[in-house]
Amino acid sequence: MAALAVISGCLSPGDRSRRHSSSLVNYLYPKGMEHPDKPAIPTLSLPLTVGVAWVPEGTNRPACPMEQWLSEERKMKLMDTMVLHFKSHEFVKSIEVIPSAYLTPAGGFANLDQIRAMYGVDVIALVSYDQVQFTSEGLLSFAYWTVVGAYVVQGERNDTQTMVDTAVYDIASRKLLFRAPGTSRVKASATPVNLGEQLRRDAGRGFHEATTNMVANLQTELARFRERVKQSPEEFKVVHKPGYTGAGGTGLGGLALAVLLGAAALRGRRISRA
Amino acid sequence: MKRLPPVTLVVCALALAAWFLPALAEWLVYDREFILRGEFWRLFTGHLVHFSRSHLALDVGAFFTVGWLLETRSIAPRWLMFGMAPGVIGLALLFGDPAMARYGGLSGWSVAALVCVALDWIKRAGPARAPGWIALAGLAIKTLGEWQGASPVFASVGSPARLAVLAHVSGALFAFAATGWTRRRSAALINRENPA
Repeated sequence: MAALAVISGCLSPGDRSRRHSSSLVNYLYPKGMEHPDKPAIPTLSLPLTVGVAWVPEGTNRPACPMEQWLSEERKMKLMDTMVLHFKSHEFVKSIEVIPSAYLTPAGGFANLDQIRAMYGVDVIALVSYDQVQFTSEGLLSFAYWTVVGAYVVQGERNDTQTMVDTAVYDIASRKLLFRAPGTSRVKASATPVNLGEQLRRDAGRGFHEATTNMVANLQTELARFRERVKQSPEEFKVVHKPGYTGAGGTGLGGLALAVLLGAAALRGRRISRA
Repeated sequence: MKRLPPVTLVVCALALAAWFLPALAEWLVYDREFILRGEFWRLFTGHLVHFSRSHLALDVGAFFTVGWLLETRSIAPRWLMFGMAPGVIGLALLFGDPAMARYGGLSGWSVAALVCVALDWIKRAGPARAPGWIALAGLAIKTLGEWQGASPVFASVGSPARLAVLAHVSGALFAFAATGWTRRRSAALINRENPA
């Protein structure tokens, strides 16, 4: 009974649903915040140092067993998928994966300023998620009346819907640069005995598929953002850090050498005419 | 000796157009990411883009001078200089300097042309070879100083771009190779026509 009370925050009678999520809005603009920072015109200093971090879950929530799937190690592995895709862009100098421990719930932009000071990141990609798992009993669940049925008959139908969202912010200006979502839906069935294990597997698969979908959308949104930056220079200021751009410079020395040869040619022509 | 250098004039005009039309410059500039995505013309056209007024003025001035000499004196490898040199320099930067995301400027191309003219001068002029030798020596000292990381010898590209010494070195090496190949080819043709 005590166990049922503990997990009652996650389960409901009959058709059961479980939800766990993190909220970007609650993290950046916590309740009670009096004067939220107004976004300014961002200065993008190429090449960028980018941070990637998961938005922390809220504090005043009952601990949900399904959240245990999304451990710190698994969060880092999911972020590695994103890092691999974007590391190769020439305007990205490096990507820093920020451990969740460094983000405090409802930390807001003050927390991001601390991260910026620690890691030297210019922009940060904040990853939030929302996963809901529905479980219902199918007709096969009648077999549970037998002892064996509860072990072998997959009468539990599970539906796991996952959304992963990445929002990229310029920390200094507090400006949202662009965002991209990724969604997935996993349907599976399980016996009552291995229901918990199946739900954890579905949760993992849901996160993987939603992240893959999100990375694809992120590439599209990044391309759109680059076009916007070119077409709206009044909205974004782009500067290049030393070394990013190279130039062939003749300079006065090179010009002098060229003029030397030119003058010698003209002199030679005058002499041959004379 | 011809009077007008048409190819040189076209190149200089395009460089000026790229300066006054930023949209055109974006389409022409050497951008590593776009090149690797298949926009290979940027290996050639990147040389037409400049990043400051002084960069444009000095580069176009030098290129016009050596290009005029290359065309009006009908120096043999001039078509290799105009046709292949920019692409060779672009490829050298692509493989030799992966940290350089963007590049622009005519100087690498100018260096290739200058070396070509200087080598021709040394070959033709007989006792009056001095300008050719002085040009080569001056270029070597300038490039060595830039390569060693000393302050660029009279060169300025305007902040925040850094001087791309590899462009000068690759241009010079290509000019030596092109001149050597052209002369060997000419000698072979002459020997074929006039067997001893």
